[in-house]
Amino acid sequence: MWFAVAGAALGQHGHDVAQVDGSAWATAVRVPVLGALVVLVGTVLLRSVVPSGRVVRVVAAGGAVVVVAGEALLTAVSPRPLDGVGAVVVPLALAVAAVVAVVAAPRRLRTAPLVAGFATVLALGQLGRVPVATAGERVALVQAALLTGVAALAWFAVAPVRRAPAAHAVAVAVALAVLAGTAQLTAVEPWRPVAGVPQVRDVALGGAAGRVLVAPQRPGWNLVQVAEAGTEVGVDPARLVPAAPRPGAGGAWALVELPEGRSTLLLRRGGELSAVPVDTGTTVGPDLTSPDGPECAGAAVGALVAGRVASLESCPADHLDPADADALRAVVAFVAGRGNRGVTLVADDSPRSVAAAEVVLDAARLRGTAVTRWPASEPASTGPVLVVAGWAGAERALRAVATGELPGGGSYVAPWLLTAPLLTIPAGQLVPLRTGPQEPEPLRYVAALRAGAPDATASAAGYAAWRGAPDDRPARLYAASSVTVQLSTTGHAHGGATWFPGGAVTPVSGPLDGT
Amino acid sequence: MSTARRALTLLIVLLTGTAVAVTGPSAVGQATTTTSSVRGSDGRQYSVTNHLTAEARVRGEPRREWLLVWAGAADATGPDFVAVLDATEGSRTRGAVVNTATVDGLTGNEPHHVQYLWHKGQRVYAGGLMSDTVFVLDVSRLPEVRLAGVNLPADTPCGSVPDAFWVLRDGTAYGSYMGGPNVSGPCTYSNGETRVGNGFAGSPGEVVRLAPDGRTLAEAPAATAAGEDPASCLNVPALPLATCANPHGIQVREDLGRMVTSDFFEVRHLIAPNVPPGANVARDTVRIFDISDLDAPELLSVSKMPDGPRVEAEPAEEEPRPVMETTVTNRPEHRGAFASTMNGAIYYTPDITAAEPRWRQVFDDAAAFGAVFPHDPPRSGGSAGAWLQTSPDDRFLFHVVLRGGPGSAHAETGLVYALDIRELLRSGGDPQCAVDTLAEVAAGGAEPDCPALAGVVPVQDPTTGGPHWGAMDNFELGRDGYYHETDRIRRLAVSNYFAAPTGLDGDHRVCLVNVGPRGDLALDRTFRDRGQSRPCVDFDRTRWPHGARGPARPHGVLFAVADRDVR
Repeated sequence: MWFAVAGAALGQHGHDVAQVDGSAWATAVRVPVLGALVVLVGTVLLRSVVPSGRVVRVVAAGGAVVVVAGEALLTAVSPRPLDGVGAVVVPLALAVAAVVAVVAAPRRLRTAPLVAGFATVLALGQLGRVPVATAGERVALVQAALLTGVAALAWFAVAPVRRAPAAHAVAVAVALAVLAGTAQLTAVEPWRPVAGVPQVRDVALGGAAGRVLVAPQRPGWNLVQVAEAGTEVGVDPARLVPAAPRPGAGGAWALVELPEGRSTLLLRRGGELSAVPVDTGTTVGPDLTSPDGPECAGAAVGALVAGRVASLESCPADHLDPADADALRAVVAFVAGRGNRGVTLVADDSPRSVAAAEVVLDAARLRGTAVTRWPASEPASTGPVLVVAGWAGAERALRAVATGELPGGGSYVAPWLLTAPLLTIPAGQLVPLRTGPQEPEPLRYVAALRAGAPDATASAAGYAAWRGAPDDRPARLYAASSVTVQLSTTGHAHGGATWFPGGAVTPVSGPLDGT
Repeated sequence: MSTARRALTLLIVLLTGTAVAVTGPSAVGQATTTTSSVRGSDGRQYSVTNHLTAEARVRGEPRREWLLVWAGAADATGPDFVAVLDATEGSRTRGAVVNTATVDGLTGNEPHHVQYLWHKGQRVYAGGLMSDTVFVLDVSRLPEVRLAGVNLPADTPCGSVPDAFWVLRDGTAYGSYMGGPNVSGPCTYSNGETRVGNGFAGSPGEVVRLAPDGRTLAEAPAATAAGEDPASCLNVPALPLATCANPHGIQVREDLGRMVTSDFFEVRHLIAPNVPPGANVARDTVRIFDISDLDAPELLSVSKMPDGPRVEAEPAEEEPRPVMETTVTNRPEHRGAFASTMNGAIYYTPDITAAEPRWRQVFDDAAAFGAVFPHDPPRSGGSAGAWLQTSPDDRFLFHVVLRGGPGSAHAETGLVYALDIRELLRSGGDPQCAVDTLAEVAAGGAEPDCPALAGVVPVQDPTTGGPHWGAMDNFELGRDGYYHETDRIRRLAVSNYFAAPTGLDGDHRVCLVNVGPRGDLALDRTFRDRGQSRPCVDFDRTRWPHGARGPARPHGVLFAVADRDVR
């Protein structure tokens, strides 16, 4: 339950900066909720051996009221409530109200059983709608199930005595399940990081809820992403480093060296210090210290929101995907087909980019297209820019196109550069893609991202990791651009899941040859 | 009651509750669905599915008139749709959404405009700003809507981002495409001319002639061959020849062989480091084309709107920019046209057939604000004036204004107003009206032929936006029980939504405004959701005929009648 999450964090770290969620008063609410739950479960377990007098019924009903009301309060004021819990708490409140009514006037309120039963079933119905894709959603499901169990126990505790062994057996089973479930959420600590696996975690920062990404969560240098630049992160309170924007990436980033095994990542914003438990395991992971680190972290998030709990073993920039190589060859053919005699090629020194540049040079040679490397050489005087660098190099190149430093013949960018921060730059971007971002599957990825890591930015790498399988459809060219002038800086769009807020990624060609 | 019977009753109640809890009341279950589809030029099937409620077919009702609303799902993963609202005077289901015709499989269109006015036999051209797609809809069997064609991004290689449409007598339509070619570089139009563009959503835009089945009949350049003033027309990335050609508003006088378009923005710019502060990405130009050959519109003139008397603290809020809308006069004896800007100015030229049309400011939104708020009225700079439309009888000019200028008093108030333009049109080719003093800005032009404010309705909208688009009801119910077209406008429809990604949203209501014989305006308080006392139909609702898809954003609106009900 809600109280159990904070309890775990407190229990593990044993000092006040370790509280991840909620304030002191919230903790004060959680304590009586936990006590009331114990009282209620105890009443049910003893029901078969202890006479159920009015006092016992009042205590049981009171316990249920405290649990449900406490949970409702915590859900209502939570800056980031778990999905599904609120929808379950509301009908449960009705069920518990019926219980209280029976205790108050057992003979007059004959409809109370119907109300309680209806409300409990309603809660079960809502329970069935709680998604279970992510760890947070699974916690929410367990929490909501336990609350439903609480309502059922309350009814059993106050209902007229029946000598039905089966009823008693079910009640005892539910009681034990509730107790075990609560123990699961408190003692076993569901939020505990999985050793060596990247993690996205809720954190209270500067008085507001936020999320932090730690990748690869392996011994050594790790990339930490937070929403706001200026947030300080580290393991030593005296040596925190500020997170800063990275070219081509959303959010703010910092490199933090983590020790082997369990430790605590500290975050400070607005004078408030928060802590996140981390567990790096024992083996060193891929290197995310390069400019391609944010893209790799995005891939890690994609896998996480797909429900794949696995360590990060490589990064997208480590090698060139054969499908991307085919797409680049097709782009060179398309450019040549439009009569361009030369292109300006922008690459960097990542293994993927080096290989991609070779692909482009070979394809251009075949078609008699001159290639000028930038920034090593002066750009071609005309013709488009072909970008096969990573996010950082691409951002620099696209801004150069926008300002006229590079020729304004438009830009063709590699498939891995499909991410909003690179598309908002007005550089006439075209990108070869096998699936349009507005198609159902990519939208499901973005929806999963919004649910599991709302501060993360959708990216081609994240989508590929979320999908977990190659896309063998032919590639088409998509034009990508902002489509809206920002006319007001006070308003902002609430568009739900979208790859490119305020922009479009639109197919403008048929299938490209050779893809 | 026996224990067994009580148990059975309880079981039934619980099962019913379970069903309600799991599925909720199903609007889809109550709706009749029909689907129509077409094959796009990319070989894929595109379809529209109607979700007709029981209110769509009510026995004993008189013939009905419909208000079509082209709306986008606020949740980007939800389907966009045409909502069909009962707009019939005296109907028991007035204001009811009797059908939602959803666009299947293509989400995030950002539904924008449809044509300005619908006439019997015409298709409806509905544009998607973000998807660069136009859906052509057959509305002959309203309230059912059928997909008749689709025009995809690759069908208009020389332009992107469709905005508005004008349907010609032959049923084809001109569409204004604000954005540049799909691919940066040279693009050759249907007439053989070539312009160099800086890409999708950039510049130059174009005019496209669309067939009733969605095919592209012709692409015509909106940019001049010689280019325009680069200081006045910023393009990012810069073009070899600068252009302000980003057409938004589009209207046609087929009898005069002229088409008028008004330029808006190079639309892809956020406030970004690439755009210098104060740069002119907003446009101040109006273009007039010769459409003697409908497949080869020829650009005749590009006119800059003159600056007005206001001196704004923000240069971007001066009168001439951006020219969002234009509207032509209609009667044979009139040759003039109007244009309006998002910064409060309305301009007029008496003759669109002139080689060099002369435009003059004839009204400022500030005067309409002043009529509503005599003390401390909102500023008109930044007031985002939008829909502009002459009545078919050329008596009135209707205009919708989003909200008061930023930071001014009553900024949350938008306007729908009507100007009496009879004296101005009566002045022929030599109008005297000119708003050239601050007093005239605040109170209307002093010259006797200046437009007179005939009616105004304030529209409160607490969001970042307000009323933006509108349509005239050009139908009336005749004594024969059939609808007939009329040039006397008795009511308007207005939608409160601009475009959320710009930061200017709206409260997502669709309202009707009654027009009196002298142009006086009044909000129709009887057009509302069932069971609600607040006027207007709210698109921020949980359930639609197509299901619990949540709030929607209404943009284009249009009155229409089924073919069998109009003569």
